Amino acid sequence: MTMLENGRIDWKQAAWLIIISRSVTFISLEALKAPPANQQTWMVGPIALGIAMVMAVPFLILAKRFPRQTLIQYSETLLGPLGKLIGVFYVWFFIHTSAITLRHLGGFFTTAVMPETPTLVFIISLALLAASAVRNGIEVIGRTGQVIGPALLVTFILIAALVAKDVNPKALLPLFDKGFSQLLYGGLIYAPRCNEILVAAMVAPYLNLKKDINKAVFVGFAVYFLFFMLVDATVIGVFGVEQAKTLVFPFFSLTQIISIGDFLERVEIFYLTAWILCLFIKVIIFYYAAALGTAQILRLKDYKPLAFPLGTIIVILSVLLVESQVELMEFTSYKIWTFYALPFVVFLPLALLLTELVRKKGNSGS
Amino acid sequence: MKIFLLLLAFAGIAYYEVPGLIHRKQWRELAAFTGLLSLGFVLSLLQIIGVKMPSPTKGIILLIKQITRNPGA
Repeated sequence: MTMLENGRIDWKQAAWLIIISRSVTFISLEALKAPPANQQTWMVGPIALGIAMVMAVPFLILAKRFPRQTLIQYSETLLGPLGKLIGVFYVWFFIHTSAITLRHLGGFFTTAVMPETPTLVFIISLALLAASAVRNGIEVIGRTGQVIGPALLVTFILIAALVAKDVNPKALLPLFDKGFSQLLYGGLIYAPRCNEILVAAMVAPYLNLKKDINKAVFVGFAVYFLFFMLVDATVIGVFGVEQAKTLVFPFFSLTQIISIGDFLERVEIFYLTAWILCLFIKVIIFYYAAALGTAQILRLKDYKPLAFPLGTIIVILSVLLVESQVELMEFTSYKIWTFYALPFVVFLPLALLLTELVRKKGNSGS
Repeated sequence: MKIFLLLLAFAGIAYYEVPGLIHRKQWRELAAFTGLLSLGFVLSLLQIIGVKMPSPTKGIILLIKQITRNPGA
């Protein structure tokens, strides 16, 4: 089987891509509004990490059994035409995620930066940039992640350090006042949102050391959830949980109140830069996964010619999919998105794993 | 005017990609390229001339609300 992608990345780059793409969630902190929706939301972090790692197990086993195949390819190897159909569903999910993220990005530019310019202008220019990144392949995307990722984490640490004096530790307690089950429920509905695991399953064959995919996924999610706890705890500590829930962009509001002496103000621009880069990387990696997946379903020799046509579809979907910012918020909230992602992240991979255990089409062990 | 710009954009994409594909004799790739680009073109054209297309988002929201109406927890 020919390899469509000749680039190689290392596990650190893959982990950075997971961290960056996940960090998109920090601005609106959806988790604050989801159960348990109280002062212990930040404790959902470690629990959701545990559940996300359990969810990753089928992908990691399959990646080990099919070291030279992506998610799309092994689903076809395992299930034939039905597997191809599953591949089509996954490609749709990638396109959908990319389009929704692009809409977020364009909508943000319109509402916050240039209100008089039509959203479409931003969407099209960003999509052109993304298309060029996709054509450049995984190696370039990986290196971009490696550059942006550390800068991103430094920004978060800096912001947290600057507001540290305003954090009221009492606001984060008591823990477990409603029992552990609330936290577990919070983790259960948060973990399926980590659909970056699908991207990991798409790039696994292109790691320079195949077995490192385990490390990439674990470190990626662990660092993300560590920062999830940090961001969540700072927001609750400063605003208190009731006020934090009423804010549309709690972490952004947090950066706006930073004022040290008379010389350090308006730090939010750093955060905005970081957030825009996060969203952009997320658009790129799901766009890339869609292009690669389509080429593999159609058994092409090259995925690059598909970048622009898929881009036009992503652009038009990002306009068409949601009518308003409110609908976008509803769709990406835990009530809808979690359940939408569930079949792709949990049920289909489990089915694929069971098939592999019965039919043994991959390399078994050793 | 808008339709003209749209045509121009899609013609630009085709001009950028097609000669290379023909030169390398990648016919399968050319077919996939044409198919996806046509889909993108038809969707954009419908959007521009103001045809209301059903949004899959609404369907997904409705479906999931039906399924999760009585959550177990």
